Amino acid sequence: MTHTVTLAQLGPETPRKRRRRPGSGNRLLSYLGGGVVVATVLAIIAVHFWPGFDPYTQDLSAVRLNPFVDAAHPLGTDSVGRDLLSRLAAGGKTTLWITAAIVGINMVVGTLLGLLAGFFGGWLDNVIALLTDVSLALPAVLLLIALSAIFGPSALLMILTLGLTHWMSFARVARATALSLRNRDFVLAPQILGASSSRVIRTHILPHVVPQMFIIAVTSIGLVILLQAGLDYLGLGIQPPEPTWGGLVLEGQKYLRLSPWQVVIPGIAIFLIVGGTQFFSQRFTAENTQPLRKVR
Amino acid sequence: MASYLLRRILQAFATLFIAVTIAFMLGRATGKPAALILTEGATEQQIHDLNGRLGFNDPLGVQYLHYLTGLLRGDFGVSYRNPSQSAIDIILDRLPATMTLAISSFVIGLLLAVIAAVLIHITGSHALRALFVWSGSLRQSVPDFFFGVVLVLIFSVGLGWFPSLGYSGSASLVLPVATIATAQFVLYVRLLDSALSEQTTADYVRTAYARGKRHSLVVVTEMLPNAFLPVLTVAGLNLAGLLGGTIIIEQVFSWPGVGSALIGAVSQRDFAVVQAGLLVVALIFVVVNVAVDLLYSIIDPRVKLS
Amino acid sequence: MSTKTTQLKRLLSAGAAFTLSAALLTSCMGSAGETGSTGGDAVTGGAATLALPAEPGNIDPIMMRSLSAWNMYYAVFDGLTRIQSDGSVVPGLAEEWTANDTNDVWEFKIRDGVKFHDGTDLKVSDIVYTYNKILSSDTSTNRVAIAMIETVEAIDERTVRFTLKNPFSPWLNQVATIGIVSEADYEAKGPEAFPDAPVGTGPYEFVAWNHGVDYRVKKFDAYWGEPGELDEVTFSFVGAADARVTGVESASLDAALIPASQVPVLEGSANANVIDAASNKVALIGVNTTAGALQNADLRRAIPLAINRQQIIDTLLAGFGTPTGQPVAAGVTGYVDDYAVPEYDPEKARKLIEKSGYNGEEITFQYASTGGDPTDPEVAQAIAGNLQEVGLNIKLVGAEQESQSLSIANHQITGLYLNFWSPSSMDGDVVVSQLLAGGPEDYARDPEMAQAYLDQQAASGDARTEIFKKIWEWNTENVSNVPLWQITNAFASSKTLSWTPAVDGIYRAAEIARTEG
Repeated sequence: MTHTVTLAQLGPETPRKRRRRPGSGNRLLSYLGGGVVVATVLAIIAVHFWPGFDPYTQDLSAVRLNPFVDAAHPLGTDSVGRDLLSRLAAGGKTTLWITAAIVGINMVVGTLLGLLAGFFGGWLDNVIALLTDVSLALPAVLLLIALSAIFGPSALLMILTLGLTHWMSFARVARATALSLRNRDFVLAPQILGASSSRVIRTHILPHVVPQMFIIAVTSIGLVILLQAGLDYLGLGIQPPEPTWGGLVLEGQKYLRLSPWQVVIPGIAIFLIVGGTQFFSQRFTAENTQPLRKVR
Repeated sequence: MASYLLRRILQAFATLFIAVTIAFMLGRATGKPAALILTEGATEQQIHDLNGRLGFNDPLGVQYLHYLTGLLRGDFGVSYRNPSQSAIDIILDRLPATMTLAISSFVIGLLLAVIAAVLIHITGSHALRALFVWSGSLRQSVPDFFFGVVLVLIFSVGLGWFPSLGYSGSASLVLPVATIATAQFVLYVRLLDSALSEQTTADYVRTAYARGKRHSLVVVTEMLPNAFLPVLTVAGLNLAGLLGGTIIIEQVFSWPGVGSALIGAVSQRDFAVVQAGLLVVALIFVVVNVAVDLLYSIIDPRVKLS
Repeated sequence: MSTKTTQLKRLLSAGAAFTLSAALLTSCMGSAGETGSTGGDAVTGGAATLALPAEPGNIDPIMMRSLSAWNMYYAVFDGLTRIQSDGSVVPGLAEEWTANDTNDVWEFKIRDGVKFHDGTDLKVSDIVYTYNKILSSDTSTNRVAIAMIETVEAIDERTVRFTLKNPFSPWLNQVATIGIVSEADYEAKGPEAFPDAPVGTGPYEFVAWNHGVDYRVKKFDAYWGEPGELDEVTFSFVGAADARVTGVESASLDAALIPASQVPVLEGSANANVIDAASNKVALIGVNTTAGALQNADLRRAIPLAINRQQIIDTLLAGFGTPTGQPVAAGVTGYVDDYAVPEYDPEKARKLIEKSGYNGEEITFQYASTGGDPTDPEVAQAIAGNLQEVGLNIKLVGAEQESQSLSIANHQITGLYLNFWSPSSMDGDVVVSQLLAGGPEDYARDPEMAQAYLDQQAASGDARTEIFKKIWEWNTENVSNVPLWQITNAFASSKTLSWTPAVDGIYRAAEIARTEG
């Protein structure tokens, strides 16, 4: 819920040094981060076309093989003898599409509520502020545990619960932008000429908000992946034999001291995405670091 | 100020009210509890009677009213699983352990971040900043449940320095606190770093330099206090998330906190306890955030509370 | 690994002899496991912390019947009889007993000079009170275990008589599981206050129950029987299996049940070793015989043949199991020697499935994803893999342990499920009732089984075993459930602790001692 503020622009260090051009120091890191993320995603896709791709077939006569010893299993096998490279790729696909769904819902809900609150203000602003407080006050993990007990754990439940409880940083920035724009001429003029509010928001405010929303979305990917891993640990996430990265870490952890690769490999995959997205977005977050006060 | 305070408190009550309603609905969505409480041999009539005694046979609206009036009297209902215990007692029993863990982790995480941020700004070193941010991000990319186990293997099993589990004295705090604090570290470093950078051009900082104050002194005595404010706000908003995160750490370290109690309660379908837990967390959140807002206005007179 | 395997083989080869002796002998304390106690001479005194995987919701022998609670009950309370660590039944608060020919009237002669922890004397009326209190409670989970009581009464100052509604030969095992409380004390405290200040007659008296953390007891000096060795015992509730393993390794704990998959990890540990002990626990696949494709008996008969038991035991359970074809373990009354274990025969399984006309309909397979043994998910996946190989369309459904227990108890299983049975009474009666004779895990509701269940309660000795054999044969034929293997328990234990794990996995605190050094 604090995604936007996790990323501070690297500003000038001391007053005595000359102020650097904003972002120039981070551009390389940013490209590097973006490149890592793209490469990881491409690798996930590529493995799906690899002839040996098979994340489900078990072979109890070849469990916990080490990486790089068997050409049929380049990254080794897991505790029931399934191919780890295939599971890593399949798990990546599952993890990333669930992450995308959650972040997508967060973005849509947050943008919408933020725009409404900022543009109209008044009681609507108050109601949305209240929603924000409620969403912040109830721990999503706890809510999901309770809901899972009622409906049984499922991907849909996880997507909806996390999707509807982590939109606050989007809303805060969208609101601030709408608030700052609503009295500007290019927003006021069409209204005087009779344009509807929804049209004004869509054509004049939304274009300013969307790029920022995408930046917040990118920065929140890492935390959403880790949140899912935590839910896997509690048994509330995607259920086996469907692989996820968090699930792979959890399975591997049981054999940490017997075959450490089993946990190190999915760990590296998580780091590539989490770290990559963070460094990629760092360059863009300057404008998002300031508004620390909450929506009110 | 007074009208702001009034509004803030109204909003706090509204938040609590909605949280209560959500908790109530969650509890009712699971169905009537008597079949769970009674043993297998129980007759339909016994089940019906017990549901009646617990108030589950009334219309939903009446149940809701009873629930609300009960809460106003401080009555959160009894645990379904162990009807001789009240639900709120089960939560309050465990609250100190969770608060100890959460507060220690917050303080240690913040302390580490302050040291790191101040070092960055005193030395003005890019390398140092990269080091802290990189290592913090690396730590953050490791799931907490796994990081905790690695700490146990190194410091309990390998070196024998700290207990691997339980809540017995300060030594048992070290590993769980280290797990949470290091995960929070990078968040606070970035906040502080960014806030300190912002201050560098502020008038009062220029004045301090003009008076010939040493750079390191300016950072610590002038800039740092102001940089704390955004951290406090974020920490306040993050509180429920922090308490949610301790659920996992409590499992890893067998920590007898609210989180373990709630996981146990949910798995046993003891929704009276789950409701009480949700409300206690929401109450803490609301109180802390009102306090942070007030603190904000006291520390920093420039902040106008609208 | 290799030393462990040979140890295990020795254990297994000793299995048959052990089986008989466990069922027949009445006093062979400490001879249960092959690889029982650790080295060194036992010394009196000291303290130990024993880990339990779960904290019971309540620790009150009147209200709560729970596997984990027995660890505390057996320390703080006594029953009329006592189940020893090898599973045999010996006198407890009752010195001797008699039953009538039909096993439905039982008289127990109560020991003289037994003191409660509060210093008062045990009276026969306390025993009558304990049983009546359970029977009259709405919410006691113990009630169903003794619901066959018609009346319980004091005949004279030292004799209590139970009149049962029906013949019940395993009654001696049943009374062992009911801890006796003091009437005056329980009435004064009530079920609200008693669990936090319990008074019993056991070898250890209550010190404190820190909810969520531990349960502490200390030696009771005025104990009537063999006193405990340790001065203080702490039962520590540690849910995460990882934490139990590292806890013993780092000496935060002295003993803990650990997943078999973690056994190799402890080899070479400075503080800990592994004690393996035969258990009363059997892994099985429950079957809802009324659901979808599972209604077909041929299809059900394919399941036992499709599972490669030995391979799963060897790869996932580090060899800590023995394939079985009956749902009770060696040592439990009702176990039939040399009962056939289904061969692994995927070809035959495929043919049976073909014969059944199975059309690929989805079959759910439920298991505990968390809260059970951490290896459960892998075992479930391996079994599902075996079943998929012979052509069944299996959908794995994981839920945490308690959710799964609830759907089992509420008769709501939709297909197959992985489950475990370990009768703490050490008698097959409860297993038959739950799985095959009208209990929540019995979907077939076969009248023949209902009758056989009553028959075994009335019979005793060899005749009773014969009836059990018939019941297991019916199960093999109709596949109401699929017994998989007997579990061998793996305990991580401090090297300075001397003890023998009990077959039921429940600590006998009074039999645990520290060793010199």
